Amino acid sequence: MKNLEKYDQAFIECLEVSKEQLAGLEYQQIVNWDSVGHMGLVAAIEDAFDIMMDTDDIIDLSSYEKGKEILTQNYGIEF
Amino acid sequence: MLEMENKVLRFLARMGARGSLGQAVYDYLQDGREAFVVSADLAHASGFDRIKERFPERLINVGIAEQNLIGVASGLAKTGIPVVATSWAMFTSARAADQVRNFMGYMQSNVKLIGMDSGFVQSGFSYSHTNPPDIAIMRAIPGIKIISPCDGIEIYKTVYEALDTQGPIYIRLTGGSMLPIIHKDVSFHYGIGKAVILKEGDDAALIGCGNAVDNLITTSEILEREDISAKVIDMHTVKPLDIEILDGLSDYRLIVTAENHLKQSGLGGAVAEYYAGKYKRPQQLIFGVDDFYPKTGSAKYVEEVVGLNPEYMARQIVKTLNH
Amino acid sequence: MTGDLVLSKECQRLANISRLTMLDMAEICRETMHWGGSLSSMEIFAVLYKAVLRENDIFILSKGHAGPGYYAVLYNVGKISHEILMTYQQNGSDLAELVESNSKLGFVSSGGSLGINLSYASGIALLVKKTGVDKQVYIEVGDGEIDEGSVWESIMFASQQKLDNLTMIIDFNHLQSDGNTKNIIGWDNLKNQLTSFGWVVHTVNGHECLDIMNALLAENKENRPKAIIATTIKGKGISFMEDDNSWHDRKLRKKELQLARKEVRILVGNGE
Repeated sequence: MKNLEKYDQAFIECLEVSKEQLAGLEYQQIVNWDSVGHMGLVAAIEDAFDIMMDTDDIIDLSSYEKGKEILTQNYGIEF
Repeated sequence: MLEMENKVLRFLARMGARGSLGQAVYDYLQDGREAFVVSADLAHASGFDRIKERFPERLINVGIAEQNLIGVASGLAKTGIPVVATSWAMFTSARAADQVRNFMGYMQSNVKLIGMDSGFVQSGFSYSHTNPPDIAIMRAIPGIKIISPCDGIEIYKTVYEALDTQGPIYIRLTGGSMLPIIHKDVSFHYGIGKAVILKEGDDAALIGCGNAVDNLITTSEILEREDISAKVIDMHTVKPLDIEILDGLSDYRLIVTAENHLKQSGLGGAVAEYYAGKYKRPQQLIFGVDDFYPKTGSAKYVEEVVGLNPEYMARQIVKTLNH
Repeated sequence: MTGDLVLSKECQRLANISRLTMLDMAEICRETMHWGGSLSSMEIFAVLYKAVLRENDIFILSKGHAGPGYYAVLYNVGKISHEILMTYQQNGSDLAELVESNSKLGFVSSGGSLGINLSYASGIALLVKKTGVDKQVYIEVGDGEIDEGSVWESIMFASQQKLDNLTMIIDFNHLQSDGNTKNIIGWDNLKNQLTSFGWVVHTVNGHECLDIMNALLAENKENRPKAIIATTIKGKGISFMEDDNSWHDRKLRKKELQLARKEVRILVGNGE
């Protein structure tokens, strides 16, 4: 699976959203993206890319777009 | 209940000890099961935010009042509905011991008392919150099961099973916000009172509970490099001990117990007491905290000061075996 | 004895300088800090240590998690050295996050376990009375802390024993770990409750040094212990923390630290 697909899949499965809802999606914007959903999302992203995320990065992952930025800048994942 | 797929292991590890607790209780309610949930001003800390949102009528907050916590929880459990009650481990044990003894011990109220942040999780705060003597106190109260799970999936299974089992149970959480993954197979069979053999070995048997299990695994790896093969056992249930497993260890030259707890009256004490009357019993090394109050610092610092870090334990084991 | 306006302004300045000190402490400390509950008590600490406490008087911080704020004020009045302050939250330190009893440093009791210190303070006040010494005993508790039944045992005892040399200050910031006190155990009627339990009760704005000073120094001719309900704002002094319960125990990030520093420097600079 390509990186973007893996990333999208994590969001879609964990937060139970459709692909169309991804653009602009933010933390606490939907019921499922609360602090619990956030941890599920982090775990899924870590699994998908075989990484361990830093606490600061976990806090900063506040939107679908921001997440991509963080993964590229801090974990060398190209989308 | 969560689908038992392996990715759940990472999720619960990331949720941390209290997050795993919250998830288990929430899932129990989501499954349509009956339960009440009480906390002493620590509902958010217990990971109960979703319960507050979706099952508010099930959640009761007594404020900073642990004695009242036990009484209220027990009253709510009068007809047998399981009640989860949470506070910091120091206060569920040292503070409310008399209420626990009467309502949970003698009267057998169906309360699942959760001592959160036990061991050294809050060692950065003060001795007041560090190394609660919770196993010691609960062991001295007849009639209460005592469980100290070692990782996220074990916390989850423990809480679920506890809710399904009639009778008072004390569960201590020794992990912080990021847990080790000890059980790598999400569908491992969990049973209260059933210790789990994590690793086989013949020269020594290392028995731990809670976060000390992770340290014992590392210890066994250090020992391997010295050609010493160690069995590692996760003895999550301190009362009742898995005596079948203990009986199977009587031929070992050395058994070792380790716990984030005082040396006296914890898991080590329980195991030593079990063997005391036996004709054939292995030598036992007990790792834990001596009779003092470690100074404040990180959990890792405290482990090193008290001698629960793998390097120290391995050294002591080698020394003992070579004697 | 009434408060002095100039002295009260010095107390305010001390409180704000101590807020700045807390930010210095955050720099060396890699852990979370109890910002909210420390910041709400800064004026109370400042008034106690700059205008009220005499050499032999006793102060017990029962609300031990205001430790960081307390240490900051103690440093600024010269009661602890810079060297010791810099050990805050380090491994093996005497300055734990929650205050620990330490006779060398003058910490009369441990404030980590909530609800137990009014009992100890009462015992000391009683000893003072029995030995005829001139000593006042002051104690600060939190408004979540008074949920503890043990506090009320002591409240009844202090009144029974007529401990008029005992003053309890309640940092009344309306918040506790799980949120607003009114949704957990509400204390809207606290003044009446304490009065009916036999205490003399003052209510003050917990961030007005002159008010606090006047209440603390008000002569107590009533053979009853004194309570001061100080209405405060949790997180006071750093705008993004004020009344925000997520700052009960949290770690400041770099950008937030810079912003906080800027704000508090202005407070200090304005002579506030």
